[in-house]
Amino acid sequence: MRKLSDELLIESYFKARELNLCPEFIGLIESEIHRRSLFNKIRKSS
Amino acid sequence: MAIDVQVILYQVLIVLLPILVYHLFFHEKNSNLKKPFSILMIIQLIILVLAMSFPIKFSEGYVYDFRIIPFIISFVYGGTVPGLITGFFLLIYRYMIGGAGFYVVLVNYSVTCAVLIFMGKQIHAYSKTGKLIFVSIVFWANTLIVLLTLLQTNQIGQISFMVVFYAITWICLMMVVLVIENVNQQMKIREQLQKDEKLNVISQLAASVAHEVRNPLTSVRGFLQLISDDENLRTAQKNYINIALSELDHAQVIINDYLSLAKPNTEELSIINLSDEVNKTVELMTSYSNIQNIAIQTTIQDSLYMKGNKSEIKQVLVNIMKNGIEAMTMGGTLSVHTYEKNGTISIEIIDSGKGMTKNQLKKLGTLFYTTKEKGTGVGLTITFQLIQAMRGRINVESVPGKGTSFIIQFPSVEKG
Repeated sequence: MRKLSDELLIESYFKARELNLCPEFIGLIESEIHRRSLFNKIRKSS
Repeated sequence: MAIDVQVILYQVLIVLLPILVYHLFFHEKNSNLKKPFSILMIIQLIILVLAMSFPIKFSEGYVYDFRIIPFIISFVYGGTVPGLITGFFLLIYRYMIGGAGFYVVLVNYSVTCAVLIFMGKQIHAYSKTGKLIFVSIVFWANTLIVLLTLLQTNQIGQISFMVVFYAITWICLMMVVLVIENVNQQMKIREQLQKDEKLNVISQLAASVAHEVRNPLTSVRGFLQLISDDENLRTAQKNYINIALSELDHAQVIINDYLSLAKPNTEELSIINLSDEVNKTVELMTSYSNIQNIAIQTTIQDSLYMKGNKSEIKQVLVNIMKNGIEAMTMGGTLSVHTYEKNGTISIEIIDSGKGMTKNQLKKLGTLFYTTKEKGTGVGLTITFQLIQAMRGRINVESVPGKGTSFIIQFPSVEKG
């Protein structure tokens, strides 16, 4: 997860939500987004 | 009389000291005691010979000693064969000593012997108090015969002495039984403790490893799903991904199994309707059994209540039913019977599958022991633990090739 670029991480996040993947996986991505302080990006666009 | 007291005390010493020494230096397993010459048996023989060699002589031919103690102990704790050996020694030695009382002894001990052999199998199942009462009855019955023969031969002068003597013998016998029982109990507790400790360490370790592995697995699974959504994939690639996903699911099932090992049983027990839970679980399992071409047959008594935990009961039932269904590779019938009898609710889950050998049965419920190709050996361990936590008992019977029956018993309670 840490090797993923920022853009790809955000993209995966939306795709995972779109595909209704398991909440634990979405939670993992979310925590990585928080770690990189990128949460503005997902809030703005959603 | 003063001399008599001293001699009687010698007899007490002769009986108690070897028993104490035995428990101090030897730790024999219960299964070992059934052998004809276990250490306990040899100690009993030593007590017998010592007690009979230094008896209290009341009059010519009438001697008193504690020989009945090793005799009864051999039967109760050894079994028929060790008991007979002690009895045989007793009679031979008594014959060698000689004197008028021999035939009384012969008749008396033969009768006691017959009673002890007849009751032999049941004695082992008795609790501590049960054993004490049983031993007392046998002892006093034996004494009564001696008393009657004394009356018949007009030895009235002996009777008061005899009663006092036998009372002391009885106290001594009770002490021996108590010592053996207490030591046995302590050994059992110690063994259980060691087993629990081991299980605890292993399960903590397994659970922490499982927990660490779970997150990476989740992300692998998630990214695989993201890939599989890609439209550029070839069919073969999609298939590969699906295989990977299903294998990951399998891994997740195993990890969840391991995690539940370390789950503390903090949830409180409440009164639950067991009939409902069994019905629900059977319903749940029906779809699974249909795939395997297995019919589930049930007779479930209505409104049975017990103290327990709904989700844990369900886990227990699902585990056992799933095992039953998986054991029937060629199809068959799974029978589930639930009924109440004498305040005990029994749940019988019977399959007509592969069955297990005696060796496999013995290891059943041991952590990481499995008979399945893809099993983890965790499911039944948890099941047994849960049943124990709810004050239940489980009994498993199996015949290889014929099938296995699980009988779970819980104390029933009134609906509150």
